[in-house]
Amino acid sequence: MSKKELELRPGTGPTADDEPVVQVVRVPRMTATWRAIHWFQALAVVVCFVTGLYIANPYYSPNPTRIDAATYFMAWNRAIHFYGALVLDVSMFLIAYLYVFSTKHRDITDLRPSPENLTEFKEALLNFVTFNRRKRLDTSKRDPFLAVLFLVFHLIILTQLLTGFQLYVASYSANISAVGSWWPSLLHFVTDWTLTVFGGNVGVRETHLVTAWIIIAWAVFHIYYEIWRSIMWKEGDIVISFGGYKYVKRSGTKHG
Amino acid sequence: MEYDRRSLFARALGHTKELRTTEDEALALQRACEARLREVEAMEPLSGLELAPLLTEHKLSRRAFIAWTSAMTAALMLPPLLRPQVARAAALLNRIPVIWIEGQDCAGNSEAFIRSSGPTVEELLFQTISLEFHETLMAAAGVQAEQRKQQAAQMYKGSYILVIEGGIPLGENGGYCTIGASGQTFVDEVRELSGGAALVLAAGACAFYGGIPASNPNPTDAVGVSSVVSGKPLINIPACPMNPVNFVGTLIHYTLTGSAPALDSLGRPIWAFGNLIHNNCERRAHFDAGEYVQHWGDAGAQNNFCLYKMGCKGPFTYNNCSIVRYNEGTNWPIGVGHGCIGCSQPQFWDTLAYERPMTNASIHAPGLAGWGVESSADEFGLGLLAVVGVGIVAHAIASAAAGHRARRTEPPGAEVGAASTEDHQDTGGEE
Repeated sequence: MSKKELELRPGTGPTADDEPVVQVVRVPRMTATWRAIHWFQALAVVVCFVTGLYIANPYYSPNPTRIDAATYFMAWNRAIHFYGALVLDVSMFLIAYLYVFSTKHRDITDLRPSPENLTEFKEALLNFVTFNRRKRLDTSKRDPFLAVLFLVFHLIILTQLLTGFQLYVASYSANISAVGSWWPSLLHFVTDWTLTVFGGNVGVRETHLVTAWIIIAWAVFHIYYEIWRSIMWKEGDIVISFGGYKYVKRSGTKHG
Repeated sequence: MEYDRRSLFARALGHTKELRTTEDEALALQRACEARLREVEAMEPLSGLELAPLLTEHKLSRRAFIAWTSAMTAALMLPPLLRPQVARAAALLNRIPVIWIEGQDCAGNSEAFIRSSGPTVEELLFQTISLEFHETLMAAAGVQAEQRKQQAAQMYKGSYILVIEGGIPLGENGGYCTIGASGQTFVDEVRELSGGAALVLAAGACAFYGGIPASNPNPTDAVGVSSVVSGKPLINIPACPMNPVNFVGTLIHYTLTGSAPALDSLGRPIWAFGNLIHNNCERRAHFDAGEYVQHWGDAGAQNNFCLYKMGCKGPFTYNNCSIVRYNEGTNWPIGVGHGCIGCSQPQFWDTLAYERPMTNASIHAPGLAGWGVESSADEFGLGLLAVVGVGIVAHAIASAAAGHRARRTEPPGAEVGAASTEDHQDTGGEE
C-alpha cells in the first residue's frame, strides 16, 4: 500500500464499494479520570523525588554567615514531599478501587492468568524483545503485558507508601497529631510490620531511598516503552495519556 | 487555661483520648502507689544505708532533692501530684535487692553512675540500693565473690532485680566470656540468675542486643539479653552508656507500682524512649531552616547549626537525652557539637555510627557481605538508571535496525495487515 493511500480517510477515497480501504480508527484507551490520575502521579513522583533527595542529603543551604529567619528549606522540602506523597497515596486508593470496580475497564481482568491473557502477555513481550519483528497481538487494546507493567509500578508505590508512612509516624510523639490520636495509631497498625521485615527504622529508610530510584528507573523505562510503541507501531500510543485515544489503522472494504 | 492540642477538625471527628490525666485519674494512681509503697515500707532495709543521712552527709540540700524528685516525676510522665510518692520511692530503694552482673562490656554503664563531678542523687541512690553483687565495685574477689553471688541469689530468690551489663557471647558454647574462678560461661550465669529474678534489666547497648561486641562480623556471636532470657519480665535500658536517670527512673517505677513500665516494641520504657531525640533537639530549628554544619569547625558549626549533614542520627533514635541530657543535665553529644550516633538503637555501630547522612554513607552493608555492596542508595540508584539507560539505548538501536531491515524486505501493504481487523471501538479497550 502506498503512502498516499495510507493517508486516506473513510469516504474520501475514489474507490469502489468493495475495494479495500484503510481507515484510521480512534480507539478510546484512557478516560479523563485515568488521565488525571496519570498526570497527578507523574507530577507527584517528580516532586517527591526532588524533595526526597534534599531530605536524604540536603544539597543546598542558606548562607551560614547570614542567618535568615525566613528560610525553612528543609521544612518546605519535607512539607512538599508529604503533600506529593499524599497525592500519590490517595490516587493509589482510587486506582485500587478502579482496578476492581471500574465501570469502563477493570484492570483486574487483564491480570487474570487465563490462556488468552498469558498468550497476549507472551506475544507483547516477544514483540518488544524481537524489536517489533514478531507482531502477533492486537495492538489497539490494552495488553496484559502493559497491565503487569503497571501492576509492578503500583506495588513499588505501595512499598513506598508503607515505608514512607512508617518513617512519617516515627516522628509523632506519644500518638499526638493535629487530627487526633487515631491517625498515628492507624499508621502504626498498618506499617509497623515493615520494621520487622526491612530491619528496623534504618532498614525501612534504606528501602524507601532505594525504592525511590526504582520508581525513577521504572518511569524512564515507561517513557521509553511508550515512545518505542509510538514509533514502531505508528498508532500514536504516546498521545493516549493526553487525549485518551490511540489511532489504529484498519483495513476493510468501504462498507465492511 | 488549659491548652487543648487537638484541632477543631479532630474534635469534629468525635471523641479522642484526652492528652492530660484528669485529677480523678491522678488521685486513683496516687492511691495505688501509696498502697504499694506501704508494702515496700514493711520490708526490711537491706543495704543498711538510708538516703536522707547520705544526702546530708554529701551536702545535697533538701531543695536539690526536691528539684530532683520533680524532674524525675516529669521524666516518668507522672502527674505532678505524685512527686511526694516519687520521693518516698527513692528513699525505699534500699529495700530492693539488686544483683548486677557483667559480660562482654566496658563497665561504662556502671561508670556512668559513679564518674560524676560530685555525688549526684542518682549516684547516692546507687549506693543505697541493696547492691548484693557487682564485680566492678565489690571488694571481694575470686571464690569469695562467687560465694556472695550464690548466697544473694539463694537469699532473695524470686525477689531480686537482675541487672545485666554487656553482651552475651554464644560462640564456642559461650566460651568467649567466662566469669570467676569456676570459669562459668556468662551465658550460663545469665540463665541461672535470671531464673530466680523478679525482674531483669538489660543495662546499656551491649545487653540490649549485643552492642559493639555484636557488630559486624560479630566474631563471638554476641547477643542481647532478650535472646537468652525468656519467661521473665525484661526491661531494656539501652544507650552507650545508658543514662543513670533512665535506670533509676525504672527502679523507682518498679518500687512505686511493683511492675515494669509500659514498653515499646523493643522492650524499652516508653517514658524514656518514646520520642525521637530529633523532636526535642535544641538544634531542630536549624534542621527545618536547612542550616547545616557542612564541615567540622565551619561557620555553621560556630553558629550551632544542625549536625544532620555530619551524620547526626537524631531522626532515627529514640531516647530522652535531648531532654534530660547526661551528667545531671550538664550536656549531651549534640550540645557539644557532635551528631548523635544512635546508641540506643539496635545495631547502631553497624548502621548509624558514621559522620555522614545515610544516603551519603557508602558504608559496607552488614548482612550483604559478599555481594560487594559498598554503595549508598543514590549510587545504587544511579547504577540502576545507568543499566536502564544502556538497555534502552541498546534496545532502541536494535529496534531501529530491525525496522530498517523490515522496510527493505517487506512487501507493499504488509504493515497494515499486521493489525487485527477486529473493530475494537465497541469493545472499549478503555483503561
